[in-house]
This record gives sequence, structure tokens and C-alpha cells, in this order.
Amino acid sequence: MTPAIDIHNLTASYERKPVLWEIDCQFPQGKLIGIVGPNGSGKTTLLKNIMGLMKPDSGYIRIFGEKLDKVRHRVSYVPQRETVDWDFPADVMDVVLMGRYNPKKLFGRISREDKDIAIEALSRVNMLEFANRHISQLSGGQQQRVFIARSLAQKADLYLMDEPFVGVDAASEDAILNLLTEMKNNGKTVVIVHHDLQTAYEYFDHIALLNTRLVASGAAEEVFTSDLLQEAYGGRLTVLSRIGELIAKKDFPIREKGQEEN
Amino acid sequence: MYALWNTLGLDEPNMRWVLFGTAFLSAVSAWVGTFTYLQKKSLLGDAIAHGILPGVAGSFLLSGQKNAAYIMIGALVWGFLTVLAIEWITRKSHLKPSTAMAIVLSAFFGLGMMLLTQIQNSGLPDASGLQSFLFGQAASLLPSDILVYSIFALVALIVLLALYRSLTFVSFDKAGAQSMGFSPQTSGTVLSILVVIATAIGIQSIGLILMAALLITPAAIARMWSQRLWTMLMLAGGIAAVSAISGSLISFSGKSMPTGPWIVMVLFFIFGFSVLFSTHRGLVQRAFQKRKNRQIIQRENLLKALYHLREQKGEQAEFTFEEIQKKRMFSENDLQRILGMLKRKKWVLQGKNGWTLSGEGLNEGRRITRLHRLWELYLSQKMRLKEDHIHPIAESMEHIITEDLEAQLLHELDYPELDPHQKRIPYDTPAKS
Repeated sequence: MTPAIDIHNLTASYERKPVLWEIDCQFPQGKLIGIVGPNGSGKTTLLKNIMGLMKPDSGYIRIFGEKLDKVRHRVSYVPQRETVDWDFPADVMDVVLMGRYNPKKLFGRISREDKDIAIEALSRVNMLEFANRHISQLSGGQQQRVFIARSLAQKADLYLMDEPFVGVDAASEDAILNLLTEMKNNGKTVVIVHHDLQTAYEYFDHIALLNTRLVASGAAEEVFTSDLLQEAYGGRLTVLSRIGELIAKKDFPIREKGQEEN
Repeated sequence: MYALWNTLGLDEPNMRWVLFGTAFLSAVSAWVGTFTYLQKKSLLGDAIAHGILPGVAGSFLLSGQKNAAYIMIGALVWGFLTVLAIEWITRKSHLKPSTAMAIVLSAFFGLGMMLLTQIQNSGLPDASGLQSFLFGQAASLLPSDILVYSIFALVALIVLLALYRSLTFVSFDKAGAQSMGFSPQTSGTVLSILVVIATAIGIQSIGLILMAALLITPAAIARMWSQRLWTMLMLAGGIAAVSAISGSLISFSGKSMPTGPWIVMVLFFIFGFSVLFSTHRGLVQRAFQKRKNRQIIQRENLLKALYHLREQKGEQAEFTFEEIQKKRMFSENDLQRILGMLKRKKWVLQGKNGWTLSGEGLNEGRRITRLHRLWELYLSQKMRLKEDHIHPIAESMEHIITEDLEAQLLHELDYPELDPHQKRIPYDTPAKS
């Protein structure tokens, strides 16, 4: 089976500072996949590159063997909860319906079917009773569930979620975890950025350990060895981060054009 | 009524054109402004409004006449230049957008003023009325001008409707929208173009300098009264139209009074009213809420004090004013007032020798005491706080804990009997005991 995500030699920088070096890995279909690493290890940057929200310095990514634009309707992305304006004048239903918006349609309208899909998505995250609540009145966990409902409403095959368990109460965490397992059992692929080592092992089937470079990627039990964890969490490679800072400061290119053959 | 209609000049079809035209133009500006407000780009309107002055003056200098179509073209060109200059500076330097805006705004406005002075010294026949571009003079509008502006406004409105979902989504969640294939760049550019149009159509009625108010103030007011985008847009449009009409009417009644300042004054009046009285975080409503909270706290404290007295001195006892005051420091006035209030509620009874709790008051006093002691226990057991630290915290929490939370507390602490100070935690006991 073609991998859900296939990453080739990806080098990417954030505000000109390289935060991902030569990432090369594949994520299988139909699994719960965790991208795990300490703070500042480039997890979010990797997700943004997969979603085409950033331009990589080098390398490329294939999703279901295709370029993103060809399969965009099969992919859904849930950004970090704090990156959006929760004081926006909208209620829960409005936000979930955004998952049904179509970028190709001008004067787009919401159909009966769209509404039914949104209602179903809300009930799957146990938030249907809050459908008419303003989004600023929700708790952190409830906001996260609304976000996931919006993602469900997209009816995708591949889901990418950035830190869905951060700032979430115990009830929401359980609800989200059950939902993720259910999605996996329905053949969906779910990729989750996660920073908490304690829970990572029990949550995920497949884990990519990241710390600005790929430390390991594979089945959870293969990756969760003390050596590899030590390598991922035991501090940065100092030379690597210093060269990154130099690149940012001096405006050097990360890749030269017309390189010498090796 | 008809006389009023006449004195305001509304019997003249010309005047009706001007009034309703201005109302429509203002509403469109407010709709566009709502989206800049939501994208937190409120200053953009102000920058563009000042930046288009060279275009307005230039079109007059080239054509030699005050013609709405030429004015619009000049304004659009310089509006785009303003947007491009701001974007270019932001991209190429380390300056923040607000700094770039302030720099471009003042430079372009300065240039415009130079051109304007040039025109006024040129002795061209139409030159005298150019002042109205700065502060607006709705009365000088001709129906043909209104028509030109309205066509541009209509175009802006159609574009706004076509991109309604895209603009909404991008304003709320840029990354999310982009991941679904919406382009934040495109919708950002389109919004900038819409702001240019929304600003330019108001030149003659409101004037350049104050145009920013019409873009932002109605949106800000509407946000205070509505929680959803659709109602916010309806309100913003309505507020803009009403302000435009009433501001124009006031300015017509005086001799050569500029329209813009009056419209802005009306808007500001509505804004001030909303800050005070809005249903959504209004100051008056908040003050009421605070007062209500204070009353609840005082009431509950008194009931608790009576309950404690009863614990100490037995169920039959009645308590005097002084005894209550000794138990808890209430000022004379406060105590009298709260007792009066509770008596009306029939939560306390006044006997021969003093005050006592009624059945309902007893339940309430017991509830507060229970919450206080439960919270103290929670603090010492779960948060491991020392015994001398827990009382003051529980004093305020006892008024906040809801029924839900109480149930959860009871569950987590497993229906405890004693608090950390070894006092009994009182429950609503069943009838037999």
C-alpha cells in the first residue's frame, strides 16, 4: 500500500533559521501516528510543510503518492488551538460548518447536507448540545473538540492534528482519544503532533521521534528504546543549532544552486 | 410631520437622492470595514484614506473639473499605491506594518496637501470647493456623483458577497483556511482593494480625514451587541446608514457645515452609548453584576454567621443584633439592610429576643457552611495547603461553587464528616435523624 505520507529529504526553516534537517521518512496508512519530540524540535514545522503552509528549502512530500493539491480534499488539518481568534463572532455550528466551505465556489452556500454532516461531526465529539454556544464561552477542551468536529466535517482520509491534547481537561482527552481510535478502525490515518512522552507510547502505533533531525521513525515498540529517547530528548546538537543561527543572521542560502557533483 | 419633511429639504428629489445615496455608500463602507476589523487591520482604512489625497487632487489638476468618475480613478490608483508601498516596506525592512502605515500615510497626505494648495492658487473655477474632499460636504453632491459612487459601491458589495466565506474563514483561522485550499494572500489583496473602494466612495460625503471612522466604528459598535458575524454585519450596516442620514441632516440645517464631522459625532455618540449599555460586556451591565455579586456575598455571609451561632448556642436560640455583629463584622447599616432583605424573603424570622433562621434560611446557611468546610478539606487534602492558609480561600470560594462542582467535590472527597479543623461538615439530613 502506498504510504499515507512520504517525506523526502526535507529541510525547512522558520524565520530563516533551519529547524528541520534532511527529514526522510514514511507514514503508513490506517494507523495512529505520533510526531514526538521536545519543545522547539520542529514538530509543528513538519506538519506545516506537509500541509503546504510553508515552503521547504529542499526536498518534497507526497501524500497518498500524489502532490498535495491533487489530494487536498482527502486531507484535513487541525492547527494548534491558540493560533486562532476564539473571540471571533461565531458560534460552534458556524465553526464546524467551515469544514464544508469550498474554496472553488464563489457565492458559496451551505446546503442541508452540509448541515447534517456538521451535526453528525458535533455529536461524534459529544458537543451537539453546544451547537449554538458562542465559541468564546467554551473551555479549552471543548474548543479543541469543536476544532476536531470541523475536521471531521471535511470527510477526509488523512487527518493531521497539532497538539490536540494541550490544555484539555480529562473528559475531553478521553473523548478525543476514543474518537481517534474509532477513526483508525474506520481505516483513517491520523497523524498527531505530541510533546508528552508519558502518554505517547500508549496513544500511538507508529512514532516519529524528532529533534530538528529525525531520530527514529517506526512502530512504537521499536522506537521507544531508552537509547533513542535519550538521543531525542537529551539535548540539542550544539553545532547544528549554531550553524542554524549563523544562516539566519548572515542571510546565507541553505541550498546552493548548481552544486558540485559528489 | 410633513412640515418637518419640508424644512429638512426632503421634498426635493435631489435631497432624497443625496441622503439615501449617502446611507447606501456608508453601509457598504461599514461592511468592508467589518472585515478589516475582524482581521485586526483597523488602521489600514485610515492609511488608505489619507494616502489617496494625491490621487484626488491629481485627477482635478489633470481634468480641471470636479468629476466623480475622475476622482474615483485617481483615488483608486493612489489607494493601490498606498497599499503596495506599505506592503513593500513591511516586506523589505524589519518594520512593523503599523510603522510602515504611519510613514506612508503622512508622506502621501503631505504630497496631497501640496497639490491641493497648488490647485487653490491656480484660480481654476472649481477650485474653491476642494475643501469638501477633506471633511465632506454631502449637500454639494449631485445625483450623477451619487450614481458613480454607487456603481463602485455595488461592485464592492458583489465582490464581498462572492468572497464572504473565504474572508470569514481566513479572518478566523488563517492556517486552517489555507490548508483547505483558500488563499490568504488573495483574500488579503482583495480586501485591500475593497478598502480602497470603500474609502474612495465616501470622499465627498464624509471626507478623507474622517473616513476611517465609518469603516471601523460601526463594526466596533456592532460587535458589542452581537455574537455572530451575520447579525454583526446587519447592525454595522444599519448603524452606518442611520449615522450618515442623521449626520447629513444636522449639517444641512447649518450654513455650509461639513458633513463628515457630524456623521462621526453621531457614530461616536452611539459608540459611547454602547460602551455603557451593551449587552455584551457593557459597563452598566457589569456594574449591575458586581452589585448583585456583592449582595449575594453579604447575604450568604449573614446566613452562615447565623448558622454558626446556632451550632454554638442551640437550635432554639434567637440572636441579637450585637451577637451577630460579634460573630462577623457587619456595619450597622449593612446588617440592618441585609436582615431586612432576608426577612422579606422569609429566610430569617424576627422573634421576641432577636433573629433566627427559618427552614429555608437554615438550608441555605447549612449549604454555605458545608461548601466552606468542603473546600477547606479539598485544599488541605488535594493541594496539601497548611491549615492556617485555607480559611481565607474558602471564604471566597464558598460563594462561587455551583451545584455541579459541589457534587464533584463530594464525590472526590467521598462524603467526608469532618473538615481539617475537626468541625462537622453539615448535610441536609433525612427526616428520621
